[in-house]
Amino acid sequence: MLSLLREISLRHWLRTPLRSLLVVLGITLGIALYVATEAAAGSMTAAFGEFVARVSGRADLTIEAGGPGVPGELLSSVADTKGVAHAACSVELTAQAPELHTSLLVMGVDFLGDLHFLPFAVQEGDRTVIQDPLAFVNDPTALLVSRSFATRHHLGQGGRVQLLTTDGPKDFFIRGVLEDSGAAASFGGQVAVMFIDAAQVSFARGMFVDRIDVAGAPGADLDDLQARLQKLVGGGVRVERSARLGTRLRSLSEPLAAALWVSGFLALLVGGFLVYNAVGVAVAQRRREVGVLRALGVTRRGTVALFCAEAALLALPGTFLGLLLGQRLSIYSTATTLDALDRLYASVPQAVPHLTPVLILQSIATGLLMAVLAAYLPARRAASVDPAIVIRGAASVEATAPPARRLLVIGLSLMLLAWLPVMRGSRFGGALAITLTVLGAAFSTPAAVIGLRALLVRPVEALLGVPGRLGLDYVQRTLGRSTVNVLALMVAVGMSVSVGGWLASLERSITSWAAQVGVADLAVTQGSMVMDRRHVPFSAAAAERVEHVRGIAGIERFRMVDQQVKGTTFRLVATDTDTFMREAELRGGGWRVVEGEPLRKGDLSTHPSIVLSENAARLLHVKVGQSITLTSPKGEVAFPVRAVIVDYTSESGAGFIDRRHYAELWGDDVVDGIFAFVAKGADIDAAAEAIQVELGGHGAVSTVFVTKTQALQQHIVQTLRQTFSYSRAVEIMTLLIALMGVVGTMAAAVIDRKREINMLRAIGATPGQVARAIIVEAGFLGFCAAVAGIAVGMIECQIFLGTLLAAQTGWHLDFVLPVAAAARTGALVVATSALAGAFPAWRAVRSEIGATSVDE
Amino acid sequence: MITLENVSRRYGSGPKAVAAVHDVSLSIEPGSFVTVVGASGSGKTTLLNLMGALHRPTSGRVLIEDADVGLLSEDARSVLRRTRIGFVFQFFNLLPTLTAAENVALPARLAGQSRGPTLQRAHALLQSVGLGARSTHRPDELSGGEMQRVAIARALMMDPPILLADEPTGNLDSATGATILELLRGAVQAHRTVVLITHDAAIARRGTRIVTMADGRVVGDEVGDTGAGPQGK
Repeated sequence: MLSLLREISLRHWLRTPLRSLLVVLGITLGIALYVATEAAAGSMTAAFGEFVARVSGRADLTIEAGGPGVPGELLSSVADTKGVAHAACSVELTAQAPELHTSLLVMGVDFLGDLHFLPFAVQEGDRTVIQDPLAFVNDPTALLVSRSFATRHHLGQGGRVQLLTTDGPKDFFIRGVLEDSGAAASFGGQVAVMFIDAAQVSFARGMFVDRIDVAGAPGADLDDLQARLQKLVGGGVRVERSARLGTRLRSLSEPLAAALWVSGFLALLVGGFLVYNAVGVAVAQRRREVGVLRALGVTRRGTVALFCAEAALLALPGTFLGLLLGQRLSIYSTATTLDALDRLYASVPQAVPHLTPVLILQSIATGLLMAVLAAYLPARRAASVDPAIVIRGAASVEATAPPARRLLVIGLSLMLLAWLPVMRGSRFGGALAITLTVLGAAFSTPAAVIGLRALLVRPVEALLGVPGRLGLDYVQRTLGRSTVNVLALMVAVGMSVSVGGWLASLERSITSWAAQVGVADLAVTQGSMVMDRRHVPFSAAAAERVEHVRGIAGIERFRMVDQQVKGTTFRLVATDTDTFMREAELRGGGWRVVEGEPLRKGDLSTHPSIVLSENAARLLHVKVGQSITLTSPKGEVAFPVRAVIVDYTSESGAGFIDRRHYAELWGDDVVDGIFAFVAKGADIDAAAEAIQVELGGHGAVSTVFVTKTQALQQHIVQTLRQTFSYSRAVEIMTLLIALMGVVGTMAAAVIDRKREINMLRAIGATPGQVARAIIVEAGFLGFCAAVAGIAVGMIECQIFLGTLLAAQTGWHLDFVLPVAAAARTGALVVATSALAGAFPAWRAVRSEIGATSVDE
Repeated sequence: MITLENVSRRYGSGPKAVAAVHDVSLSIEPGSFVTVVGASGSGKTTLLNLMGALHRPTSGRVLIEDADVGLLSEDARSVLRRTRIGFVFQFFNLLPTLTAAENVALPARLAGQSRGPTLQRAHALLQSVGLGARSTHRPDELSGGEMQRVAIARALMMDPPILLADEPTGNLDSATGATILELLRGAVQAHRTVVLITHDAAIARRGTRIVTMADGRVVGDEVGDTGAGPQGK
């Protein structure tokens, strides 16, 4: 076998550098995307692991709450509970350091309380971290920073660090440096520690803390302790095992992880198609050689092994190059993933991905497996060669075609199954429906190719003459190989159209909703243009100052906190509902009510009542007229549901109450964002400038964002697109791999039909006519894939919107036919496929013809 | 009229170059039936390729009805083949997706002629080779002899004055081969020039002139059973 590999296979692949390159490239791209995806997923797991280790530390139980946080006053009763050995409050947030153009993890620690959970040693070696503890706790600007942070920014004892706080940028001073170990080494070493009271003041936590850590006494029954603490703290506060935190976060980020996995898998699949094609070409070209080998005694199994070994041999450089490219790509994939994670779920730092030995080994194994699996079918075809026939010189065009009709029946049945009602309403059902659709389309492809050829043959012949017709005929004649190619392209096109479709639907829904509710002229935020996890709230006083800025007629203040209802977390939004409704009425806009009476000024402010977003009503299973019970520091309060509206504030649902009731019940007057209404006749730009000046955000390092609402909408759409930029990049690469497959197929086609091409030339076909036939064949492959891919993509999109997204978020988005995207992708695929046929066509016509080669 | 003047054809270059045809001069009169014989590798197929404007000579001149093949562009040679020369191959080379009539009509369709009239003429040609009833059949529904008759009809589609046949009976049994030879002789009677390559001496004798090749050179040129006399060197 080794001698055959060395003396026959290696020479063959060296003599056909283009095809060898295609195999190597297919594996390179497949492995690169696999590595990038795995690295991103690995970074996500590591980030969660670090987060959980940092947050849970030595705690057995953690107490957390939605809303502004856990009331700090609960600490004493928790600490006094039987079975509790240690309990301590903490605050943790990501703060921006505008002057240093970075962000860092700020931990607020109670130095005067239980030091059991202190995230660092007070004494590090023979060095005391805090020289004067009393001075430290009495200084609201005192800060401890990690050594790596201090070194990176050339800061020492007494150094100044400006942080963005609720009252704008504020100076803090370094009173100690922590060695890079434990919690101080987390978040990429970007860590600062301050006294908990200082953190509460600077970041408008009031009397609330982010969590209370609890360690059980030795031998304490943690389940029992958890139950007793839950009873003690009430329904609005969550007591859970620290270990559960990671599981919860992981389940939240499941869709992101699933999207990554699917992208990687599809890339590998399409890379496999490319290898399949290239080996298929080799088999076609070497039929005579295989016939001779078989006649000389090489067994069928030996022939299969030879071709699989060749593919594996080519997989080695492909895998190596894939690892190199994957490492570059993983920087991008990891950055995008961690950014999304940080924006949506938890404070995680950006990290440089590393190719671990395990990932390298996994990639090598995957590359080899992919190559061998993809080569297996063509290798079997090679082994089935009848040596007697081939040596006599029979044509090598495939003799048997797939049973198109039978496959169509199976395909249509599978696609029909995808529309059964049982597939609706669950994530599993949705995923199954999409799988059935793709499988169904795969089975129907041969029939689709035949049908499309029958439909197009006359117009194409009229337009492009006989060469056009021959091009279409060729595709049908090599139906098996054509089908594989169409399938690879179809998967890529389907993926592109599907993602494009639901992004378009999401964009359309969100922009129309934003235009409807964004009746204000200006949005004022701090730290981030939108109210995401990176924004820093304003104090009530700051909001008041905005209200009195010249040219401002009124403001609508926003406070957004998480609330738990019936075990489900949703977003509670407290806002000045009267201002909003008054201005909405004047300016023509407001909430679009889908259930309940139209809303008017006073409806939410007079008595505590709530308006729910569609998805919140669906996820919480409540209707207009029913009530939901919210847990405030003053106890449980029933809020009657006044209406259900169209709203996309949160994928976990949102409920709107009047700010006055929120402030009274929760004792929280912090403002996450402000919508400002400019007085009639006043200049919007001047008003925006005045707000900037008033909030002190004006200057070289501006941290206050005063944005026109229209620009805000554009920013939201832009962010949405950015979130899916990696998916889009994967789509393009997948499409590229599939298109390279067309080059391979066309090369095979030219080899298969060498005799026929020469005959055409002999009877008078010009080189241009022969080339036209080959290019039409390649273009038709692309056309079939575009038609099938667009259809499959649209069906996938509908299933995704109607089932998967609805099950995940409760959102029901109107399906927007992505006409432009589909037309663009379709035209691109047809054009590039035709172009992919140009090189083989050129090679076909430049080779010399002769009667011998016609008869060979 | 086909004229070859000191024609050589080499493959490859440098010391590895192989001369398939070496310094051949030959003149073939219109309406003659020339058979070319020789052992395998003697250069007879290369000679046919040169006469059919499939190859350009490396040196010397090939004139087909006064057109110098060496001076013609690729497209012009295609047009010359399409209009003035008909080819018949050993392995028939019919397109499997086309019917017999469509296969016959192919050269005319490649020349841009419209479908209806070309199919009518193809049908008439199929009738002339005894396959009128098979014109809508596809190649896989025809026997070897029938396929070769379709190929002859295709070669006659553009009414070319020259017919070149490379071992047209090589893949057929002797009875069917005889029918094919009769068809080719019919073409000669219709004042066409036919050049037939064969390794079968019996078939070669059916020509009016027998050219024998060895090592790329013409080593014999004699009168066949019905011939008039040698013309070349």
